[in-house]
Amino acid sequence: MQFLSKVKQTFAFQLVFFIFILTLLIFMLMYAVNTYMTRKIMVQNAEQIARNLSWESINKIEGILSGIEELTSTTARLIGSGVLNEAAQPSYFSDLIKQKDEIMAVTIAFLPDYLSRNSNKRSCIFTLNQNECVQTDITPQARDYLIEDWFLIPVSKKTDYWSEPWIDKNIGTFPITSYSVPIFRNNQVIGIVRADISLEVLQQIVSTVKLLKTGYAILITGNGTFVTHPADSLILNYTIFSYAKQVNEPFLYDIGREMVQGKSSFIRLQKSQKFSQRWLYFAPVSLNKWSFGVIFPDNEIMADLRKVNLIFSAILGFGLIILLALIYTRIRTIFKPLRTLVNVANKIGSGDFNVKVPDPKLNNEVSLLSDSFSKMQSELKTYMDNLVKTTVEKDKISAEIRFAAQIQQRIIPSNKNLLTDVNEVSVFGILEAADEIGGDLYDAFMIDERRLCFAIADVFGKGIVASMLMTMVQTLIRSQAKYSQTAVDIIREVNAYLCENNKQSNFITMIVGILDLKTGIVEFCNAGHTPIYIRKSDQQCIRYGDTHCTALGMFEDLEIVSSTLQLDMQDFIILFTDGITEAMSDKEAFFGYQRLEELICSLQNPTPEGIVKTILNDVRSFTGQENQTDDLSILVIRFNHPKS
Amino acid sequence: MMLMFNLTRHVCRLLVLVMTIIAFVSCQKAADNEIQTKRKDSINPSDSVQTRTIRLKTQWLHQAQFAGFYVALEKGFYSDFGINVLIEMGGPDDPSSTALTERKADIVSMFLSKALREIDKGNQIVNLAQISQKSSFLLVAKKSSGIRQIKDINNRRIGIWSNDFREPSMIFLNKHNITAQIVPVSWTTNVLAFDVVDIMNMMIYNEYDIFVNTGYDPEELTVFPLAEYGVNIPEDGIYCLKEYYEKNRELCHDFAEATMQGWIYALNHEEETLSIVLSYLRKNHLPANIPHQRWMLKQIHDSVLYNTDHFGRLSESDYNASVEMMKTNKIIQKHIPYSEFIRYAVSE
Repeated sequence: MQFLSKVKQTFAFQLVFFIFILTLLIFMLMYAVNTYMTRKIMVQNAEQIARNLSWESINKIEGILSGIEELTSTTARLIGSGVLNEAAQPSYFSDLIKQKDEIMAVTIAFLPDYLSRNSNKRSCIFTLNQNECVQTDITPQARDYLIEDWFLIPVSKKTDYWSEPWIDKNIGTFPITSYSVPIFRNNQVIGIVRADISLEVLQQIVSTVKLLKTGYAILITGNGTFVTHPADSLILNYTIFSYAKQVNEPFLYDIGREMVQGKSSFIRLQKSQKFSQRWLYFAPVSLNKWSFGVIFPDNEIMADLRKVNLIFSAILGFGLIILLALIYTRIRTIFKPLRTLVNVANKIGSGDFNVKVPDPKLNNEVSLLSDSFSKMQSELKTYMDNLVKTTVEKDKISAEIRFAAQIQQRIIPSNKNLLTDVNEVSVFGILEAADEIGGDLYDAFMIDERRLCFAIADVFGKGIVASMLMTMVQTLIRSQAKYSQTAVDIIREVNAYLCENNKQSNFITMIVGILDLKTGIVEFCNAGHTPIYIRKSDQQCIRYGDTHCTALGMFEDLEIVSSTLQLDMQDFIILFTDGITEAMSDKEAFFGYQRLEELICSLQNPTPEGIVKTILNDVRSFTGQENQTDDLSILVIRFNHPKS
Repeated sequence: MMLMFNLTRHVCRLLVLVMTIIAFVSCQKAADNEIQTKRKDSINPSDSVQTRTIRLKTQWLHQAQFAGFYVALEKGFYSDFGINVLIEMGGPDDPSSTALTERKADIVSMFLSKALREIDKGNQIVNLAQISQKSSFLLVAKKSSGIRQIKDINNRRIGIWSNDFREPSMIFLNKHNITAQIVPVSWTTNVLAFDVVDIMNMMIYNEYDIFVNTGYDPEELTVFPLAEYGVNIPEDGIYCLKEYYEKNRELCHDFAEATMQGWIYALNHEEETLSIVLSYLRKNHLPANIPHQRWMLKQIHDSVLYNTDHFGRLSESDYNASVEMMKTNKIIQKHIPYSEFIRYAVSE
């Protein structure tokens, strides 16, 4: 099943299947159109044949009937005019019957009134017996011919009349049809001349009609009585109407009505259960108002068409199989290099860039693909080489950054030994870098035994440059503090250094302060940095927001001043970078100074570490754990007591 | 002695058992019939009865109209009574009444009207059984002729059969005071088709169906059933000469009994009867039109069972009414009393 599923997905199968379906649809369309058109033509041909055949037979029948009509009418006129008298009649009728083979007998029958007035007249039948004319008298009394159809109808209607089939025992026991013509004398009907022909004459004409293999002809009378039919039991026994009842075919009944009404038509007996696969052409025999029909089966009309269709289908089916086989084989040949390419691609995919791309001998789409693939392989190889180099370099840089971060971490004073030997103050600081390495710094160190220098700074920007600048600045502060008397001096030196060496024009905001441990006086300078807070022991919080100069590293001739303040025992100096106040919540609100101030004021019996951690935790809860975008630095110094 | 007694007792028990089974089976068979057939008690098929022969002549060619006779013969009802029946068909040129009076037939079937005319002529004939209880005469016109009601027949040409079958139509015309040109016609319906006549008489079971089957829809025809217009002279009956009856009373009774049993069987077994009728037609080289014979059998069925109170018998009222109509119309002058005309040949 899996194999089949794979085969079904192959290009060759898809293409062959598509062509097969398309060809099949085109074939079916052609077949349908061809069948429809050919069928139409064949039906038209069949109709034409049926029509010709019918009219040929009808003409034969009418030829016989018209001959009889002519002779009988002439005889009636001769008798009526008195030309043909009783003496001449035997020889006349003998010649007439001999001359016209179809005539079995001729009857002259007079009305009783005429007979009573003319005693020499008599009604009689002339027949031929062994080539001799036999004259048999008939009288109205012996046989009441006055009520017979052949007499009564033409006498009453004063016109000629073809009878329904009947048997006249005076002639024989076989069925006949009679043609009766009134004899007129002085415009009065005095009798009838009747000529009889054996029905067999007409039956023979119709029964010889053959159409296709099993097609046959029928002849029905004006009453619908079957004169001929392949089923003998129907002849002169059933009318088309009684037959329609017997076979329960109302449709046949309707056709019968049209036939006896003298219409002609060519129809398929579709509405019929029994004859649904047959065609019927019928036309009237106008002389005696009978109807002639030809019935033939549909499958015989279409026999040739079916044969042609069968051959056509066989050729097309065979051709289709050959075509599909050739296409399939050809596609497989064409796509053989493609399959090789697939194997090569798999090898390349698994890392073997040196595998050789096959060179297709033909110059076609596959060869183009092969060329492109070869180029792609080459470029991919170059790319992979570059990628390896880049990756190596990146790893190296990453390692260096990690090393720089470690150095930075070491430069930042550790809280474990941050002025722990100075009893007058307690110091705690923290620097949480947003990236691996940060751009903030804080520091607190003793310049000499009396003075404590503290600083916090924020380098504009982040990353390796900011980190290195921070390192330099921190080193500079420590080195300059020994030679500087005031925070202003330190700031000035830092600014001068930065302006001179800072080629990237990075600038730094910074607070540098010097605390006199004996007096508790703090001199500090705020170079564009965030405010400084002093938390008093009574939980009061004093904000020193004024800056003493702009950020450092931008202007060489910077005017720098400083401020001083007096610390009391247990006062806290709280320094921080803008990462604290500008920390942003999910709703894009800033942490802000007010929240910070409220937090600082609310603390009970704080320690430097407690203040730092409380602020840090509050900032984190405000921003969420994952949302730190800037370095966070806090430095808290508690002035425990003056130095003695 | 004791052994003989026991043996006799066992044989008696066995006989009683066999007879009970036979009786039961007979009852079951009879119960299947709508109208139960009756067998003559006095005649036991196993009895040795001298075979008696009857020459029967029907008034027309073989057809389903006489199915009861054929069935009685073919199913052995006649032979059960020990009668050998020779059925001969009549026809338009061979009337059964003539065969009877000329003693060429022992028993005939004929119309009641014909029988009354024979009596009027002085022939002493008696009715052994009455098959038809209702007149099947119709007057049929094409609606296209304009005839829709009885009065429309006035001054029209009416085709009436010229021989023994013309009386009911004539009585109808007189009864309804219709003046029409009477055209004697033969047995075909072509004169109506060709408009030689505007209306003509037909039997519902025969000519009417033939005419319809020449392509006419019954809706296109105006039909006057004479029985519904006060001219109900029942038709087919079984007749013989009085002298024959006097000499062969039992035979006549047996024949009538067996014939009516044949009719009961025929009416209850339509398809089988039809095949028997068709076999008669084929045997005599007559056209065997199945739908037509089926139609005829159905119409005869309706006529035979029209009045089941006197199945197989001519009621006195029907007889008297028929006599009265024929005398009023001067078709007959004299008649015989019902009691002399009728011989109760069929069991109650």
